Amino acid sequence: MKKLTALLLALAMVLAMAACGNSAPADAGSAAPASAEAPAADEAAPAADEAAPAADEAAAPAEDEGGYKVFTYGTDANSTTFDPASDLQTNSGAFLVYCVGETLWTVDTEGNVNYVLADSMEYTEEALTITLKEGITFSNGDAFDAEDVLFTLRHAASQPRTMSMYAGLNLDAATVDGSTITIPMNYYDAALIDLLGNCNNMMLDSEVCDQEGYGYDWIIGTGPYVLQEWNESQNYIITRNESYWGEKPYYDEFDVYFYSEESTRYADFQSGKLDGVYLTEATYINNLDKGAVMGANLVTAVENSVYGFEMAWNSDSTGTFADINVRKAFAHCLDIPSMVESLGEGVYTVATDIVGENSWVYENNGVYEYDVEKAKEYMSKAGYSKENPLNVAVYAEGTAWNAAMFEAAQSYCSEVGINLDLSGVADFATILPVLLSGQQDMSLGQGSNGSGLDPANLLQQFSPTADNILIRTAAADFPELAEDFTKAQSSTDQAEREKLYKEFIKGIYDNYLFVPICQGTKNYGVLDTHPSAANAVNPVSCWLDPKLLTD
Amino acid sequence: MAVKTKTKPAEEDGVRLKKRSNFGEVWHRLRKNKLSMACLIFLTVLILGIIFSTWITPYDYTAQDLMSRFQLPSAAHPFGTDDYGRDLLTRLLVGGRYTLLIAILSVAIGIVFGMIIGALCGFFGKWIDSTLMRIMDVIMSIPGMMLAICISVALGSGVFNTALALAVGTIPMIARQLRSSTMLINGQEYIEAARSFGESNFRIIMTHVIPNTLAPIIVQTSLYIGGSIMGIAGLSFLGLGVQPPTPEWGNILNNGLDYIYDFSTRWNVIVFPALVIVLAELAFNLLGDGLRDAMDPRMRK
Amino acid sequence: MLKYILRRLLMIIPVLLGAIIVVFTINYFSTTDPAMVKLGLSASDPVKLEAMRETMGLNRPYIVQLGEYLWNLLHGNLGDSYVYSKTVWELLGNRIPNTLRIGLGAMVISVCVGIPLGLVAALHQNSALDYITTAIAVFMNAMPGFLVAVLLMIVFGLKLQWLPTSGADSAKSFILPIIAAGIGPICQDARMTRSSVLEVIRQDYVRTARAKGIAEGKVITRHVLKNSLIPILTMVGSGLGTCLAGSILVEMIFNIPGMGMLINSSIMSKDFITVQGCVVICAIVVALANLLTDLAYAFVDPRIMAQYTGGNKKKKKAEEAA
Repeated sequence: MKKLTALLLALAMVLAMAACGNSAPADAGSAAPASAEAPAADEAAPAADEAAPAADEAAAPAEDEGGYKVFTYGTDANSTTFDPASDLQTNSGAFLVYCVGETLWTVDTEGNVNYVLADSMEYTEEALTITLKEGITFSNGDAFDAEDVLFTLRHAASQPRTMSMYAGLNLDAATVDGSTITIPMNYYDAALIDLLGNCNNMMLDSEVCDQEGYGYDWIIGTGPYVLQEWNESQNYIITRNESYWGEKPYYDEFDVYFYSEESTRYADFQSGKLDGVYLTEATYINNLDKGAVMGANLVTAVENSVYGFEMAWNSDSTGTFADINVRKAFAHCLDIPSMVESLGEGVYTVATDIVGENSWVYENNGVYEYDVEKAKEYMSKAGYSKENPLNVAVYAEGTAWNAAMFEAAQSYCSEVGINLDLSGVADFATILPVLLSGQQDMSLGQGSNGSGLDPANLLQQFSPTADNILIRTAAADFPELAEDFTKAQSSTDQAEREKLYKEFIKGIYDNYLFVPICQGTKNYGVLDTHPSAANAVNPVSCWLDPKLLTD
Repeated sequence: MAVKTKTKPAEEDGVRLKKRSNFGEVWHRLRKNKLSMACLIFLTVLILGIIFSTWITPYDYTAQDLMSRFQLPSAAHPFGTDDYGRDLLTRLLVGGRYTLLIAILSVAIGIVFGMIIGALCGFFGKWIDSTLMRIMDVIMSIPGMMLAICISVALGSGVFNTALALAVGTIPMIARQLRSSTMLINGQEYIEAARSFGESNFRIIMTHVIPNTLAPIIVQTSLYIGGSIMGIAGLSFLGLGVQPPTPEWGNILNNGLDYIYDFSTRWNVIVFPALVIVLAELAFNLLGDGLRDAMDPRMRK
Repeated sequence: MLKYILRRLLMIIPVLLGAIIVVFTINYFSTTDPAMVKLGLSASDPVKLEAMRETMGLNRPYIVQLGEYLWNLLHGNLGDSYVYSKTVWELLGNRIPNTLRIGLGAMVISVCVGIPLGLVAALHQNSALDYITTAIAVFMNAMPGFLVAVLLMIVFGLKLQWLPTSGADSAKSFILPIIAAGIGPICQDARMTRSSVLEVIRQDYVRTARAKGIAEGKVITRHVLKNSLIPILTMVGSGLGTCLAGSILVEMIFNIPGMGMLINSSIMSKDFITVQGCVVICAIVVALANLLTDLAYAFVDPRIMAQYTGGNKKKKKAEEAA
């Protein structure tokens, strides 16, 4: 009996050990068929493995060995969908869309259109005619034609978040003729042209996406890379599209790993496991900048948009911020420069306008002056005081930076009798019902990157929901401002547009509709062995651009 | 302090009914255990500090001073300041209020429900026993932390919700223990006597069964509170539990760990919260061990 | 014996069923609307929302939904994720092994390290060895799991570069996570073993055995260890649950694609059905572990088996006695 007991226990232990020990062969087994899909991947895999531990010797990377070049990249958490129209919430998703997809054209920082999939584009007689390049195929072999363009536009226009931006296009009346597509358009909408050059609008394969039940389970585009493998919250692998119509990109393969914890991402970059890493927190960015990681560089791009506090009230001029005195009090009670400089630690800079400094409508409007006494005065005019505070329900996505801004603001606001309730600074999914019903008093807005540089796009994107607070509040109580905006959008005269947009922004400023806080940066760490990385950040979207990366 | 006020009357009740000397003897034995006494003193000081924190530090736990972030310990800020320039000592003391409140609340919920269920099972037996015990088995089959995660996801954050989430997992353990001790008591003469006087079952349970089975549970309270503190810290790490602007030991530490790569210049935001959690946890565990040893003289040499 | 095993197997079913019902009910009464999670921003359209509620079957009574969940579970279907266009099982499939590796690994080291440590400490009670072991066990037990994990990663992964800092690529990368998840259970096992061995060591039969002049080694293995095995076994069995739960935190820090990462990302995106699926899987694993523990009990202590199979024998004995 005793021996039997011992035997049983020993057996159990051995079994459990075996279960753990098995991990290695099991993993190797599952990895083999996957890498077999990519030609020559077998040679590359060991090469990449060897490169990792050799990082501190700053020795030769994979290129010297097989000639098959792999770039490992660590990004943020996983996207939940392959739908490009809504996939740009995460860095990992944006990177994938960049690699796999292409747009009709791109618009650079000066507003010039550079054609990619389109051959030409023309606006005549209230219609936009787009002619496509011939002979381009998707990575699955399907031909790219005008039907695909129409499908993509329809899909983008059905997204609640961006729906309003496509209002100028009458997609139902569009006509398709082989490689030409004509869409009725009431006026030349520069913002829309800008938007179409943005990677949300990568061309989708209508023949695949149209299939019933297709929930964007996979992504197929015309781009230089093909998605090979995707493991939720683990990684994805993209390899070079061998039938790509354009110039072949430098790297044969990108292995992109998801990290929900930034500290782990940074640790892996430090230990040499990653060639490139996406960083958001000041502590890592500054460490890297100070040279804490041997043989690595920090690559920084200034964001084109601005973060700011959005104040909301009802369309019948009731609600928390309907009174301009309250808005003034809020704007003046904050010491924005010291908030940004101390908490931002150099990663964020104080914003002096509603749009970023790169925009052609940028004007230095300054920062609302920090004056507690003035703020208290405004509060007493509005009928509030420290003893009788105003309660403000804040709903914003709970990113580290948003939370930091609100926590700092909460402390300043309590001085003048504004009580910020931050229980709504949480995950997007948590606050969604409130955002949808528009019950929030305050939110933190940011013109999302990748939406192009047209002022209309930068301003439209402030709210996390489709129903833009900025435009909505302006329209309700300041119809003349809303008119400026609409006029500016439909004008073809560049000088007039600039003037009208600037007027609109001035009006926002003067009426305290929006309190701009800061302009951010996008930061990447890249190993020295990839010297081109310094120029590999796309200036419009600020994402790391795989097409620009070389050694 | 809160712990003591919770435990004392209950223990005395139990003791008064049966053997008064028992409590005195336990206390006598405990006093000889230097380690346990050190823990008791530490906890008393900690809890007093938490209660009277407003007199100890002049700062408001939400008062930010963005110009003095990440200050290392100094006379003005004994533990330094955190990433918003808030006084870390104040944050930890006020955080302790929330942490211990949740921990004690969760253990209290666990004990109340565990006690009722355990007493019902032990006293009535038969189908009540088997039904309730099967339910307890079911709850026990789900790992405690998983259950806590599940409940706090469903209920949302907040002091009471977190306490409830952690309590559910402890109910079966307490119920089982009480059930077996109730069964032992059930056959005793004084229960029979009470029955023969025509006392109602409810009254017997309340006046005889529960007081006489409570002592071992009360002793374990200390261990359960220690476990709860760990649970809260774990939930905080996952972004559940109490939300960040409200201080809580777990989220103060978790927040501090973001700066681990700047350890040489910002060590205070990691070391002090970690120290507080570890010491409090140690104190509760060691005190619990000491109490158990004192209850069970066989364990001592 | 076979009969006993069968009986125990049958007894698992109601417990598991109950556990699944409990988890389902908790999620059913949560404040979040799954249809809203699934639709995201499109939920601003009340018609769409209602239609989605209808297709997801959320308008049906609780009991029907529960029944469907159980019925699907019987067929190995844990439902469809609210945010991914995949089933929960597809999401879980290749994650379960990673979590089990960490959970079981942690349990194995807790047994292999914790029990001998506790035994040594007990046999040399009040020696320096005892104090040191106990002190370390008590101290490590008081460290929050995520702190231990971060420290392990920084020290052994980054500073010393002995082991990988993250990932699940090789057996090597599991070493740190297993240690991080196992440290709590090791300490608990060590303390538990120590106290239960100490209790046995003072029993009369041990004294008798020693008095009879039986070799000390034999006394330890035959009398002490065997008799203190039951509480230790209980602890080992229940330890798996702790190890699995510990794995959740550890996976996040070491970026290991296991159930813990999935639970975490599902909490963020309110994908409750995935959380539910993970908890159900854990409950099943724990139930199986408890079964194994009970079987081990039966080996160690024949009295337990007798309760289940020996009912008739007892009666017979009673009759004989009469």
